Amino acid sequence: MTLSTSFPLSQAPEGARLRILAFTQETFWHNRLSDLGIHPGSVVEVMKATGPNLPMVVKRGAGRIMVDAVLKHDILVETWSDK
Amino acid sequence: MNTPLTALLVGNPNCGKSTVFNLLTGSRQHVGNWPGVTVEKKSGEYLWSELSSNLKQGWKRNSHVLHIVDLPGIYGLSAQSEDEKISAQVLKDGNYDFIINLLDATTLDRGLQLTLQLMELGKPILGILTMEDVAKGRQITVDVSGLSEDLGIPLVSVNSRSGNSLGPIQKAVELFIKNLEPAKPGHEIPPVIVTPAPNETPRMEQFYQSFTAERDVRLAWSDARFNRVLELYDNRVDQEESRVTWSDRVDRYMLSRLWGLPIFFLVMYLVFWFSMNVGGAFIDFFDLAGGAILVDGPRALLSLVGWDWGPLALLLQGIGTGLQTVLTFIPVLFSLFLVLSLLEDSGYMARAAFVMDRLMRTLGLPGRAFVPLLLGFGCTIPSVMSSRTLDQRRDKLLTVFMSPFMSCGARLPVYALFAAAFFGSWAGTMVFLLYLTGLGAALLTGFMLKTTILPGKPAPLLMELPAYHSPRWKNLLRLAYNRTQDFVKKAGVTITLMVALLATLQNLSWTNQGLSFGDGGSDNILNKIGLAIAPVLTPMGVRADNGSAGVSLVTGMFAKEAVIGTMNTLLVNQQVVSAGDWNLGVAVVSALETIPANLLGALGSFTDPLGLGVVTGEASSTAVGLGVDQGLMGILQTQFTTAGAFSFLVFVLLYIPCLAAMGTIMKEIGNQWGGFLGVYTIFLAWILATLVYQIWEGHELLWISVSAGGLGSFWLILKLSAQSAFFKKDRL
Repeated sequence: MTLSTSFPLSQAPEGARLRILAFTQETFWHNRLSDLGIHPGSVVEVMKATGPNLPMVVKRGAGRIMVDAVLKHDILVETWSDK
Repeated sequence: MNTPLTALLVGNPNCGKSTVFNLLTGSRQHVGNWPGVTVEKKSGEYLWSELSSNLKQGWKRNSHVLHIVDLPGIYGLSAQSEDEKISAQVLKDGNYDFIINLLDATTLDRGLQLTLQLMELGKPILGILTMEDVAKGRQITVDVSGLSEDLGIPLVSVNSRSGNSLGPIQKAVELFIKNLEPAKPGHEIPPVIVTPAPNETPRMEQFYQSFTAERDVRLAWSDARFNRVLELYDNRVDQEESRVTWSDRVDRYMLSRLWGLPIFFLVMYLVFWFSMNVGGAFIDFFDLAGGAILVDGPRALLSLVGWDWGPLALLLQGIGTGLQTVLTFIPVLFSLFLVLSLLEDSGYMARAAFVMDRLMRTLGLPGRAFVPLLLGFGCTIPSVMSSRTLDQRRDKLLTVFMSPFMSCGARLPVYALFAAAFFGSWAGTMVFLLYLTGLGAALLTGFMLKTTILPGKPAPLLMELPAYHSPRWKNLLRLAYNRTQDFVKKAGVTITLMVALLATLQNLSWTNQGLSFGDGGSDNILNKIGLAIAPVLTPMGVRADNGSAGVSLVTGMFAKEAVIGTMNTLLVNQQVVSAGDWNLGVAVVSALETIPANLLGALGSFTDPLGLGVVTGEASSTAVGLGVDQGLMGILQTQFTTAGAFSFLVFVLLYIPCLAAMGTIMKEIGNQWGGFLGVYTIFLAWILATLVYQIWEGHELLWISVSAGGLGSFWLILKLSAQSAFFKKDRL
């Protein structure tokens, strides 16, 4: 397992495997994120990163989740490797 | 028969819930709305019987009824959108006997999060694991009996996409009902660690204070639940890591910056063409057959039994006309619901929201709002009804207020007539300008509302991207049928009553002899109302003695295309066409004959879905195409100036949607908001039509100031009213 510096999910490139560290802002949409399996500790993979002001798609388990262009700035992640 | 039990069907969105619901309830379904909101409520009955024996009565057949309510899909009980709140509230209210919890085998970790929350409600739970075949295709294997044992609830695994699933589901439900036991909580209570406030530095202490107790407990609870999900998943699910699926490969194009938008517009074009042109090919059939059976039929029967025109005949004709109007909307709505259900079921609708999100967000709306607005170019009714898919009440209100300004197909004949009479070779350009004016009015409305009474941000795009599915036609047809039936039952009543009222006024005359029943001639009350409002239209270029303009705007409230019919009647014929001899067989056959011809026309219109081909700018061909007297063009030129004609068209474009659309709007957003929308559209139409005429030709500073000032004052009034309880309650 290797750990690196934290950064917002919005900066992650396509194909990156990441671990969620924290939500930087407290909004009620974080409950929905948690229900979708995106919460501190969960590991996701960026499937589609279309641009800075566009939504992105992350893979969580077998599911694909669309994350809003605004919310993706609030999710702090780190690069994650299982090896 | 025993007292019926009630079960709630609960699961994540797209987990196969509707399929299981359809399998269990078959045709015994009811679609309506939850009280007070327009979230769709689907319920149905599952009936079964079994043989039992006792010493006294011998063999006896016991019949059972299970009432099933299909709740909107949810991810958890911390609901955000209107439909999720309904699901969460119904689950917490506890007025049911047990829960049928559906879990998608392909996204089981997310499903289990919900299951653990449901288990905390303390009601009996029957688990149904769906999509097992899809999961196997993705190398995901679930140990069903082990998972059932770990959870402490019965769990049955089915492939819900095949008809063979009915047997196992029925067996599981019947067995479960015999031994209902409340589910036990699915995870341990998390240890709460109480730490003293650190006081090393004021900043650190301030940071500590920002963590409220509620948030800590919620996080601890959520964490414990999630750890339990991970434990269950690791123990009972065998999954090959990081596999790229077929859906992922398709999404490389569907969601790409290069291809996403062109594909989306192509799909929307097909939706529009299918619902408006293919569905629309059946309108004449419903209109003619409905008219023959519901309007001409009762009239002929009354004549046969010797009744002269009287109150009963008038009432019957009014109701008949109302029902006929409702019938004409059925083919377009059914086609639209069918094709929208197809997009939802296939998984494309979620992609559409993704692709359009950025563009729509600049208008203060979520990506999903594009579909309702686009449909507005065909018909306002499906446009308003499809706004149901929006999560937030604010987003829905904004969309519904903007959709009537998307110029619907019924307004086009009016443009075509005036364009031929006044604009000649500029006809196409002027009609295009009208479409742009409508878009401008929608943007202006969006700006006015979001800066005053509907502030806030659109709901963030945060949803699961379901895997693509092949369509299940039986389900789609049933869904489209149920939704159309819902429209006929709900909005249909309002529309019928409104049309019946206006049709009655059209046949009532007020003369020196008092009130009398007329034949729709020029003395009728509706005409008098039209003449009375004509002076109000003078600032927008309508002459005060041009009664036909005012009257046609009133009848245009039935349906916008009625504007030209009224003008044709008042300015040329001055006679109402009589129904003629009634022959039901002949009428139905001629109605049927329209279908193949219209379908051929629909195929030919693939490159012209808006029907702009009718705008030729040439008087005689336009008159033939619209079925009006060729002399009407010349008469119109004496009644309007070119600037007055254009501003009149701006008014027709923007003023109150037709009664059928208003009925639907009131059902969707409530009578108060609907009434406000009606007044607002008339106000905006008058303001903008007046501005257009006065800037173009009138040049009267007074009216330019009045209309511009009126718009500014209206914005100010909205801004000041924003804090009122009425507007506040509809904000998130």
